[in-house]
Amino acid sequence: MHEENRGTLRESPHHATAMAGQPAATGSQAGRGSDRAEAAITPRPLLRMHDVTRRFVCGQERIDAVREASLELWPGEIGVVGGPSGSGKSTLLLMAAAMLSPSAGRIELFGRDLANVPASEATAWRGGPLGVVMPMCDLVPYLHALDNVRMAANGPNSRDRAVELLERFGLGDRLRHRPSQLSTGEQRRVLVARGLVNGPELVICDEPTANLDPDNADQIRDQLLRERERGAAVLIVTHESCQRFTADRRWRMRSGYLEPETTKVRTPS
Amino acid sequence: MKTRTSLKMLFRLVICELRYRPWTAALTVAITASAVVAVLFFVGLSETLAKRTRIIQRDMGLNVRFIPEGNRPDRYWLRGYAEGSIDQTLVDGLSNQDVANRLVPMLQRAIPMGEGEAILTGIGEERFANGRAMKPVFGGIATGETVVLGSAAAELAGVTEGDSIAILGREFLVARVLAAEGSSDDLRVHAELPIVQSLLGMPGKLNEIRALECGCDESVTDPEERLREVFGALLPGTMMIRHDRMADTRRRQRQLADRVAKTATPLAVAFATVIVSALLILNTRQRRREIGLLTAVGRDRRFLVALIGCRSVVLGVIAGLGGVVTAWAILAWGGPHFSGADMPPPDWSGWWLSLGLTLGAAIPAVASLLPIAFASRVDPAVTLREE
Repeated sequence: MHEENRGTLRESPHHATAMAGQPAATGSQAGRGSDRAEAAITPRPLLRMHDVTRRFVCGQERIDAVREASLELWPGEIGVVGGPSGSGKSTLLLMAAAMLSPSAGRIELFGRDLANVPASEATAWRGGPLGVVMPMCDLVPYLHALDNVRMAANGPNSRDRAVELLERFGLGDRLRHRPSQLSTGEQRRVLVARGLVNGPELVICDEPTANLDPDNADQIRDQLLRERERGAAVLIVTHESCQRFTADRRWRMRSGYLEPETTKVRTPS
Repeated sequence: MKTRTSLKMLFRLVICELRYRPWTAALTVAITASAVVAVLFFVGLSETLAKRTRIIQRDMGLNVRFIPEGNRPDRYWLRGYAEGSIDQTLVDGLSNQDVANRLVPMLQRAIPMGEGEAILTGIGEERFANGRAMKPVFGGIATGETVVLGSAAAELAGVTEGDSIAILGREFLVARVLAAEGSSDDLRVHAELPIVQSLLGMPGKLNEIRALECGCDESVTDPEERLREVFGALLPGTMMIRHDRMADTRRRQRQLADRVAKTATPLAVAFATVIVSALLILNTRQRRREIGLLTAVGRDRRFLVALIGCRSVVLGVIAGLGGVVTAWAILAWGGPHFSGADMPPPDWSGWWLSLGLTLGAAIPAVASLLPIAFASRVDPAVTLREE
């Protein structure tokens, strides 16, 4: 089903902006044709990491949280990175969300090398074509659920979009409740709604279903599948089993190394 | 549209945070309001004290005299007035200067009074520095066909208030008898200048101009030299007598009052700014995760600056209003206790309100510069990894 939508983005207010002016042909697409018009509509990965390493220095100690990790994620794909706590998943995610720069390697987001993207522009992406679903406890404690979603919303009708998303998550009667008045599952759904409120092209989720009961977890997984159907790419990191998520690509992180579990053979149409 | 959405969210974040952390907000308001109170109180008190000081010093008497050139000092001091005369038209140019104020034109001569002599003193209209409009104090103490007598003169003439008295063959009503001062002024018979000029047959003539030196500014290093320089041109054919001790005492006292006001006020503002700054830094540190979160969801640096700045200004305006009301109440009810004077309540004017509000807003605004710098350096990657 999602194969039919690959390479297209429906409902996204950012699609035209993100596509415009970006180098359409990337490494894997080189040689697909020299026709300029054709190149402009040729799909490209929304996220590409190539031999990315992130090193942290604590006094004399050097810790490579992520080592030579490579991945790519195309429009309409779900990618899941599994692995135990402390394996470097969240560091990988922060780099993918342009919040942390790599110590080595290259990250391309929306076809642009992040090394050449100013921090202010990367921040603006997170309020537009890049949706980030934070880990737990990242709701503002004094804002109710609706405002916690709206705080990330940009563009017209932000309130309507936020209400619609929260209603879709079954939180229509909890709009005016503060995080302290919501259950863990409800808080998690608010976090996911906030990441999706701008109709992003790429959604990056940190443990979206951790510690949730099956019903709540299913609800979130269903919503992420809908995002894929819409044409968005979704990158999930989880310490749970990767098999719990329907995914096009799966990786496993072990001690900073990213190993593919399943890699879809892609045949661009 | 994006800006409007951002503004709405900005205000919601500010208001909701203030309601969520009311004690932090209340403490910031209280400290800022205290600074506003301190400043307004000092300003109000020093203004009142300065006014009071001016009145006290004015009552000490005029400390500069201009008399016709060529007077012998021994005769001047023995008689108590200057011989010779100057033209009254000279007075017209005295408003175009700012080194002496309350310039009083006078004409004085000794006249027989009972068994002895008194000094008939004609007092003309008081002139002010730079042509200012002020309430005259020294001029015009007697009007029309009335005279005001010093205590010794009244005793010599054997009259009291309400009696009539003949001076150089003309009848006058004794409007008032002044209390004894213990000086030659007790021998004076005050009347309007034109009447005295007419009685003495000296129309359009003066023999003295008295003034209050106002070169109290610390920038004036030699006030006497300054007086000579200015009045040498304005009053040709006169010589100047300056009561140095009186003038210098007045000058020192005014400078002291000014210095206290100029030092205390900025100190109060600086002290409050430091404390409010510390409070705001603590608040911003407390909100590191929120700030990191805002950056993580795409809010840029301008939004963070506006968020912290807006919160400060909201608190500042509340503090400013509270400070104005409190300072007014303290000055109105407690002012006389502090100043030891009959202090009227301060004017509830726009100036007070605007000073209070400006200070209230400015203190947290300046104090929020450091927190803003701190907030804009918050790294979302770091704060989001913290538990």
